[in-house]
Amino acid sequence: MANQRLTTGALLRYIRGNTSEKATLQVVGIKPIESKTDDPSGSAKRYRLMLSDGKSTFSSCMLGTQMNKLIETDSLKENSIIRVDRVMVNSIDKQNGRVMLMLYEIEILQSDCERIGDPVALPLTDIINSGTNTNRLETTNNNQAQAPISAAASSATNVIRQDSKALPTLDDRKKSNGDNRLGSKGTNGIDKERIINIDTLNPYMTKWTIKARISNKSQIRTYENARGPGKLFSCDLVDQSGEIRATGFNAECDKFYSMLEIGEVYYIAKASLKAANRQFNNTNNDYEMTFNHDTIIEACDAGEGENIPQVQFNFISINDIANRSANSICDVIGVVKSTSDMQTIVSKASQKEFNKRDLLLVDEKASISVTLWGQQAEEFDGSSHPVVAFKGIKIGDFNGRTLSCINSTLIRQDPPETQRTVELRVWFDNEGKSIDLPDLSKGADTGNRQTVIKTLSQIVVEGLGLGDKPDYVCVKGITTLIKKDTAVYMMCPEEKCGKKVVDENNGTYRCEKCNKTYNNFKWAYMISAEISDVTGAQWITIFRNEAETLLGVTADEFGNHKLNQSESIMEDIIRKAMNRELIFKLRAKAEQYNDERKIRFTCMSVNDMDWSSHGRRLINEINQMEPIQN
Amino acid sequence: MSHHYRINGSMLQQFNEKPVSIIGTVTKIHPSGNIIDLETSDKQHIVVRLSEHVDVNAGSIIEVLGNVDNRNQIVCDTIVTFEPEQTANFDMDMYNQAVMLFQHYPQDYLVNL
Repeated sequence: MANQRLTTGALLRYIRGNTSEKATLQVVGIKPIESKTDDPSGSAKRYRLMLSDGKSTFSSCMLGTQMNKLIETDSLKENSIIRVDRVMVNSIDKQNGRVMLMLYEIEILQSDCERIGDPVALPLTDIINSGTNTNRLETTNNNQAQAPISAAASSATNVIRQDSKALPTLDDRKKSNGDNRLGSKGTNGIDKERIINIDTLNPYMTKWTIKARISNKSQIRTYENARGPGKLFSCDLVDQSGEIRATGFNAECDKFYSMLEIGEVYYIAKASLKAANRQFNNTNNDYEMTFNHDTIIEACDAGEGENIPQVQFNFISINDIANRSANSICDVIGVVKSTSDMQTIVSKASQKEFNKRDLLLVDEKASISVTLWGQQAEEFDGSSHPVVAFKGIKIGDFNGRTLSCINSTLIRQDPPETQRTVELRVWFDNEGKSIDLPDLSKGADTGNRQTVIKTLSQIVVEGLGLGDKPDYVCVKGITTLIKKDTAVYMMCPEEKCGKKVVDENNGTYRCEKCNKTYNNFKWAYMISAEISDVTGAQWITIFRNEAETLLGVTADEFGNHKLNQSESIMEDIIRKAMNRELIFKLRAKAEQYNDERKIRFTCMSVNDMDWSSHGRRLINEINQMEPIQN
Repeated sequence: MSHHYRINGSMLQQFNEKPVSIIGTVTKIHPSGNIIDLETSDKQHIVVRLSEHVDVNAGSIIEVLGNVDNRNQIVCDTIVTFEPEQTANFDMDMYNQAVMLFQHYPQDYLVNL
């Protein structure tokens, strides 16, 4: 009965190229593989699975790294049953039976399970004989049914003897003498049928072609290492699916540097892929490309490359920069509100002179200072208040937050690839140029934007308010209780006094602090309210304007209702203020009450939820929780 | 209690025969009123078949609850419409990111409502 659940025969069908099937398979083995990478911080682990379809097993199944955590959290283990949702076949050396199944998407149907059936390993012959890869193999099959089996089992030379022309094995590529002919199809150069998306490139593929635009190209840089002097250049390749960094060293540097022009589209095939070196490479791709001896690059005909975007941007709003850590890289777009003159500074460390220029970049919600260097600084003209996009700019934490261009930063004025250009232009011309926005580069901890959002339990756990100075924090919470009867009090009419007066019940009111008796008083808010979020609840005190914002009526109005004993009206006001999800900015300070030290929370401001920016903040936080290799 | 998976256009195939919820913008309404073309949060266009004529405006954002059939269309049993004020600030791109997060981390997002 259990056997019915596995899709028998699926493994062979996958290897044959029928990858649209969504088979149910069982994991019969998991082996971690340390991937070679230059990145010292990354431990790019890759898991190799042996899968069973009930009848056969296949041991070369690579799990996409984004699913590594399934194994690490023990959801995916030996004997787990999975459904394969997206898979690709990589033929490393089909003649010798070396193929791999790349699992891009799977779903765990059952974590714990008994071994189903008694599957046996797929015979090599079945793997070799499958598919329509090389014409050669099929002709030999027709003539001598037994021959391929023995050919695979014995050395490679036997295979060549079966047929006069050389087979395209992995070794043959090196023999090609720079003549980029592909053996079997006889095509000279780019195979335009095999164009794939940049975001599917990985080191385990052999035959692929991409069609990409050069969005950025560096200068040729020379270096010296143990092997002697060398040179290199890098460029960023962009297509509809994503981007990738490519580097050409020495011979390839000479070959391709002048050929590749920024903004033009090229077909590229046969380059090496390895894990991206995060020290130098900030593109949005796990891998990076290196041009090698076999790399073929062909210019696209005019008109063929129209659907390839010029550049891939991943903009964050200037606001969000406050949430990012210093020295991280981001993409940002805004309008240049002001530009400084060229300045020259001398580096204390190197005694070298640097030219720089600062500009103030604004978007609808905030502004930030951006620094340009060297040639970029000299050439920049912000007098027309252009919309400028920065790709790969570094975040600094001088005086709050600033942005600084680095060698690989791309600056684009009025970029056409994004709607933001038009949006910002319209906004700036209509309102933006005349308003003053909160400046992230003017000191830390001023204003709402700098105040970090925490949960109520975080506030307790982190001991906010226990220090000598008060702590400020924002909370997204719901008003769950509001004390109606003590919402307002009679306050001394004297400006800046604020003390509660005693009602003498004869039309006069006494203030002990001022030591005077008055004929009148002012109603003032001092609301005790409980706010709650997912993690807990907290009583806070809300005064003055904030209370008025919350209840929607002035203290005076509420006080009058209280005098008139209009209970139902007051209840109505309170009811409308309850169960509202708002952002509360709180001041936490420990105060001594007799022998007790309690933290008092005062509300500094109440604001409506901005769901858009809240959502973006959550997405940011989730992304930061992803392991590095993702 | 039905559990509708929140998906976008590209995920239709994966959810064949399953109950789904899709949010998108109405782009075309077939003259019969029973078939509408919806642009989903990931800018794909899908076809929604209604069992009876429903009054929706082209350009409005709606939520479609139904099942994915063999032809990669939605057979709809419920449509949720919104007031223009409610959808004025709806960030479709962020909704799309949320939908992808739900798929990426199915163990962290509840589906049974």
